Amino acid sequence: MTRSHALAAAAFAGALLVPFVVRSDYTLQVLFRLFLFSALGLAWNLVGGYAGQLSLGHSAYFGAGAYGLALSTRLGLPAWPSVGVGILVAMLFALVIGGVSFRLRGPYFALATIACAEILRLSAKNLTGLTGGDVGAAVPALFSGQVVRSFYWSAVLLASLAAAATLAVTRSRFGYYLMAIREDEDTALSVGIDTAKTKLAALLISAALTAVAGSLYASLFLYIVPDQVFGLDISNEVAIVAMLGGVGTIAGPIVGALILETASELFKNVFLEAHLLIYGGLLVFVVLFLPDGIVGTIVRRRTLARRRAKPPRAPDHAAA
Amino acid sequence: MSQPLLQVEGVEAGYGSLRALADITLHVDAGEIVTLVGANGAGKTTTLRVVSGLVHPTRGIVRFAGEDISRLPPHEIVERGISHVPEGRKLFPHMTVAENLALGAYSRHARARMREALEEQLATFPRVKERLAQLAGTLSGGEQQMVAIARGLMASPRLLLLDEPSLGLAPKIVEEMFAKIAEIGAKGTTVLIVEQNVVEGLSISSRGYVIENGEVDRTLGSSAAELLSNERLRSAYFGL
Repeated sequence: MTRSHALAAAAFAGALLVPFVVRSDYTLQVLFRLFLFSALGLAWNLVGGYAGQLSLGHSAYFGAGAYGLALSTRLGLPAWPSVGVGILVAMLFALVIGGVSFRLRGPYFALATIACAEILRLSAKNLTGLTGGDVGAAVPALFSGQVVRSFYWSAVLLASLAAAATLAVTRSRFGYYLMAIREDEDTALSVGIDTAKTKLAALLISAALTAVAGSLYASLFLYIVPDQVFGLDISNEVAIVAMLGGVGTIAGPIVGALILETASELFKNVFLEAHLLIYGGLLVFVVLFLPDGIVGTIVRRRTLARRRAKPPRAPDHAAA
Repeated sequence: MSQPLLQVEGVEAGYGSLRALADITLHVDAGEIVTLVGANGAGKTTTLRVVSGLVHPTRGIVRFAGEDISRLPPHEIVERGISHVPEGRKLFPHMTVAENLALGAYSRHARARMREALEEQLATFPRVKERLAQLAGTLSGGEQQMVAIARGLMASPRLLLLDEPSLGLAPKIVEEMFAKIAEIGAKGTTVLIVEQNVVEGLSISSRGYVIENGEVDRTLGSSAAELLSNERLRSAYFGL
């Protein structure tokens, strides 16, 4: 695994150096989105991929990060601690939303997460005293000076953090519990896994990372409205990024973000709102033809090929 | 006489408005192998699910080692020493056999002696040892059942619940399976089995219960030998 470590380190260093080569603010902003959605996809993947709980309401945590930052600075808190408030609010939402919707399974769970996110969106629209409603709320700048570069770097850092967290989870006992829940929740229960606690823990990590992304996104725009940060669009895009690239893999969400963000930049002037149609089409295509996503499919093909090439390995005793 | 290891008293339970168990009373003493017999839908599986906490009783009480466990969540019941091997194997098919076994040792006390437990299981099931690195979904039915039982034993339980261990297996494998279960019982694990294969199940058991429409048939004694020779049972369940 040392080769992939070296590769990851090189990619990280390379990503950090990009702003010294790329001078165009526009390009950097596109790359910012790319890494932001990689981070979001990775965060989603912990719950949607490894634990197999299809959340379609991650905008709840994204919006919590965005509004957490906007509203706590209004109360006089400095900008960066306000990001912390956003994280805490998102985790609080995760506790409540998880507590309610993890009682349900499959499509019912997905619907419950959408409902929860929609409740938050509508509340944000209507609690005008608190959020400013559809008029919107001002968001403080997190950076001064080389603003676009700083945003780009923070997105790279966040994506790396999310990737590192994912790696740590997959190598841990906790990661195995998540995968056991995905494989068969009843069996996970009967071998004695506290599935409620395990799913909630994954959601808390995921929500915290998603909230940071929400704060960054909001601060780049300096102004947010509920439909933008609590909307279904965000929830869907986050899930599609992970599913397109491959759920339950580390590289998957990054590949998914690369494809989706590139496509949306290329097509947004051509198709306008019709890009939603493309999302929908992509999702149907992936579900029908690449259920493991791009990375998942490649990994599976390679393992199969390796199995065929080599006789079965001698069993090794080191269990998990 | 000391108290039984497992005591189920007047349990009523169901799913939503569907009542699966009306009145189940039974007990299992430490060191016994006990088989639950009955037609499809009689409530045998639900009885096991109540014991392991996957379904909570609406009435009645379940005691394990004298302690009331009827309201505990499944993971706490596993922690106290009850391990449930569900019907139809239910392995984690995309994980290796080794990973499946490791997941069986979830509870705190089991984790501490995971290595020993693994050694024990591999000694009991040599076939499983050959398959450790293989994905569980690629094993044959009999092998999967062995892995499922081994995974259940990884929790180092005092009471092992087996739901239909012979389901879908060839007759020869079934025989082998029951020999293994008898061996596990002889090594000191108490076993409660739900089984369609009445003769095989009862013949390795000291006692059995007949469940009908969610109730234990109280007109019958519980000794396995008696049940095996009971005329009415022979015609109803054994097809003899």
